[in-house]
Amino acid sequence: MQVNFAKDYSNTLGMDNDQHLITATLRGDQASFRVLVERYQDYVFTVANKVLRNREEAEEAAQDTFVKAYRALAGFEQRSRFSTWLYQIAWRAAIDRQRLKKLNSQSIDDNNSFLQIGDREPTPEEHLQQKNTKALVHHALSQMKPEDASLLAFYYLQEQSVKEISEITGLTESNIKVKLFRLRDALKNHLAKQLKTEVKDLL
Amino acid sequence: MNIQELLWKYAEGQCSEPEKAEMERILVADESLREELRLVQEVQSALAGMEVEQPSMRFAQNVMEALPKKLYAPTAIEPLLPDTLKTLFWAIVGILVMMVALVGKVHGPVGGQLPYFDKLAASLDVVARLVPADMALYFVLVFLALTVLLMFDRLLAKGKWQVHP
Repeated sequence: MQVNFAKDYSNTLGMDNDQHLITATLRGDQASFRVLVERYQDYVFTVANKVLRNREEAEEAAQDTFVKAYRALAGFEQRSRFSTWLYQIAWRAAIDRQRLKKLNSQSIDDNNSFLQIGDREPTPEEHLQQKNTKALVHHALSQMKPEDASLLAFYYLQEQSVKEISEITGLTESNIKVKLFRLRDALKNHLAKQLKTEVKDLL
Repeated sequence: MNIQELLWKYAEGQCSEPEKAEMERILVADESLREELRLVQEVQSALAGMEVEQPSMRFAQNVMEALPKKLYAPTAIEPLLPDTLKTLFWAIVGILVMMVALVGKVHGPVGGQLPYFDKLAASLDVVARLVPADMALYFVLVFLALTVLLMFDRLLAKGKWQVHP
């Protein structure tokens, strides 16, 4: 059972409302598109920031996402929710930017990426922040490959189903299920390791 | 499904009743698995507590300024009524104006030195007496119907009224 801690913009009423706004936008009412931007900007920005890990670049990618969505709006066929379609554009925009940056020396298609949680020693400031397990998990998330961290964000933060994540990322559903399991298990193992280290330090 | 996968499924509350019973039986007997379950729940809780991030305050405005301006310009809707109806409408108006003008000319001093609008009323009165009552009634009804139809068509074409499916 997924737990939604964010506003649920994806209920049936929201979908109807999105459709009215899309129709109005296509009739030339740009103010309606602004409502859609304001509705989804936080989530689109979060997706971009999870992949790019840089606020300025994430903001540019998020802006590109909305401009691309606006241009392609007439072709939106309502096979999926508007949010899913939008996140698909956001995901691709962020991944394309990330590829250009070439931050990672390894191929981002590496299927073992879920195993890679960096072992970089936390800075003294980070160490202070890691006083609880939540901070430890979030620190581990920031060390994960961006694509992997964004998969977890889609699943937990945006309450997307595995099917919708598959539509967004282009990965198969079974691949996503395996990745989600292994990513979370890697987080659990990382947490166990960090807690053991802390206990040793205390002794 | 291995025990680790089952553990996550259990923590998410997605186990079937037999799986749940089996898991609880193992958990009672295995202390290390209980510790693992605690870690799983900690990770679940931390992941569920991820927070949405916000772009700068001007983000929406920046997006709006970056949009192409005339991509979805309001579409002009073609009038639904044929041009012949418009022609008929203006023909009726023209006939009425001509009749009033002719009556005013032929009857010369209709209304004498009366003000302009009284002269016009007097001319209309003469026209009304010249035209048979039933014909005048048809004439007025057709004229009113055409006026309403043309006004409605014009409003639709301007997009002031929109019909949602």
